[in-house]
Amino acid sequence: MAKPTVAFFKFSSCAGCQLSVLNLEPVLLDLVGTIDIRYFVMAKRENFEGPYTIGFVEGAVTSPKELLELKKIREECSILVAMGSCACHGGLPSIKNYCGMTQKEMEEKVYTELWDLNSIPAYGIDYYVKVDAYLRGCPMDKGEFVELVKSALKGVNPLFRNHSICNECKLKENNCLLLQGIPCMGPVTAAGCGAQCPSRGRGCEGCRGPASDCNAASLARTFADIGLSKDDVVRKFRKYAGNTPEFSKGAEAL
Amino acid sequence: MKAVSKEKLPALLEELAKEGTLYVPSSSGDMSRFVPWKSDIQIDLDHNTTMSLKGILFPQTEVLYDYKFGEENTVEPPPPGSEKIIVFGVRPCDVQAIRCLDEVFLTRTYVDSYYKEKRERLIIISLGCTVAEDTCFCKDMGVNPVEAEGADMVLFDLDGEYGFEEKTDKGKEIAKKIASQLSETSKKKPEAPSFSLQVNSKGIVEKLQKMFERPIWEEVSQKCIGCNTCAYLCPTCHCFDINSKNTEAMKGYKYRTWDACLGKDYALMAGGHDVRPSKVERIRNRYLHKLLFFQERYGMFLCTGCGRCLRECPAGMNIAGFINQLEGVTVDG
Repeated sequence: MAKPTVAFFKFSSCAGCQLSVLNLEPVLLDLVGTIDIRYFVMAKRENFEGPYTIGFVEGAVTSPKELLELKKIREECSILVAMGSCACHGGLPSIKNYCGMTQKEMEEKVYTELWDLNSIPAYGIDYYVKVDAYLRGCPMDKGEFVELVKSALKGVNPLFRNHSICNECKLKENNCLLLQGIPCMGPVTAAGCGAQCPSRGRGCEGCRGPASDCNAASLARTFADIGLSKDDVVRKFRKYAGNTPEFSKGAEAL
Repeated sequence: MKAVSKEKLPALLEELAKEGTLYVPSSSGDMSRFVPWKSDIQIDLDHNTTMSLKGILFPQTEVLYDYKFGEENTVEPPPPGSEKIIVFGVRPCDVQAIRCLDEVFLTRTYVDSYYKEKRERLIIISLGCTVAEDTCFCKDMGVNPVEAEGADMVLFDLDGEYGFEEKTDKGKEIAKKIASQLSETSKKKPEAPSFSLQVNSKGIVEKLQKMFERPIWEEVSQKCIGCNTCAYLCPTCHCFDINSKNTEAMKGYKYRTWDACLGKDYALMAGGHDVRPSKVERIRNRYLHKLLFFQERYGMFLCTGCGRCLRECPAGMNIAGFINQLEGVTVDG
């Protein structure tokens, strides 16, 4: 059986998810033994044209040029995976969608050379093309990445449960941060990271995006009850997945 | 009644530990649980544990079997344990919970071999309650708060000493081993404690049978955030999910993990169909399973009134309050 061909692409993002792949040292060699990495600019000198079996896309789409590239990638890849919160929901780049400035105002604020800039609001890649799988989180969870590759090799669907972070947090027997007055996005955020932040006493930031059937409006009111200003509540819900209808409900609740 | 003074308890536990793995209640931080006994362990017999002994019989994650594909496909379950499991200081509500789990895992055609194997090695030494906490309501759920039915041996707090009474053959056997440590006492069994929380569970089975479609479910489910704390802490909740993990291309293991009914994905089926699409259906299912379905099938409540879910729910859900709320509900005929 020929090895499946794999490609890694990057749009507007920090490259942290691609770095996570390279940080898989204990299994990286096993991994390249089972898949043929044909395109991975960050890691390889020689890169090859498509088509590919699996394409991993990191980053949000923030320019027409990226959009055209994305459409081409979709055609080249049998399985298209959104890798990390930017590709899944827009991620940190999507904060700009809600800052109240026009694209031009933002461009002028950030860059000095404007002649080649042509930006558009930041969205996850499924705003434009069909996506077959999501690797949530900022950065994506390395374990989930390996699980997805293994599942693809076996030809089965990977099991990613989208219940809330609370489930994992409770199984780890942590004390609830919300009850201690620490704002935590856990109740509305999808599980899979093993409740990393709450387990270390930090509130969840919501980087994995909305959990299934979450009640963001209720959590927004809880945040207000424990002393967050309206602006802070909006920032919580617009940080990583403000584009999603679920988190929008939280941002618009107050 | 046989008894041992409280100062001599460590020596008695040391004797018990010779018989098998001895679990005792112990606190660390805000959590308390049953942990394997060691001579330097701080035992906490003043309160019930945050985590019940459910995890000893039905662990959070349990390997069911290792599998291997090749010329010959093999399946190998983990070897059964041989040591006795002795759990000391189990409260009557949790003993009742084991009776519920026994019904589920050991009766009515299906026998869960993983549970059975551990259950057969289990010896329960129960401690009768002399104080009821403000979330306790076991007596209203049909549990005797002093003398647990189903325990192998029962302990009574007799002010300065612990009285022992063996209840089963397993208990008698253990009593023989520690006989040299025990002396005779003239003190009597303590009275049942007084409960500040009163729950009226009379007639709720008949009432709930007619309450499948009611606005009350909408009302009580409002606060739930679906974190499943109640189910994970509940001494009787026993749902699990089965998955497999490939450790290599051709081998791996099948395992089960706790699962619980308040998350949306729990009832999700192939093709995306969900029989309990919203919190309303999920809370209704949880409460009815505790208070009605289990009664109909096994003749007992699946809630033992331990009060853990009342105490630990971050959203303030309250099954005791719900039962009392039923008093105000009228059903036809």
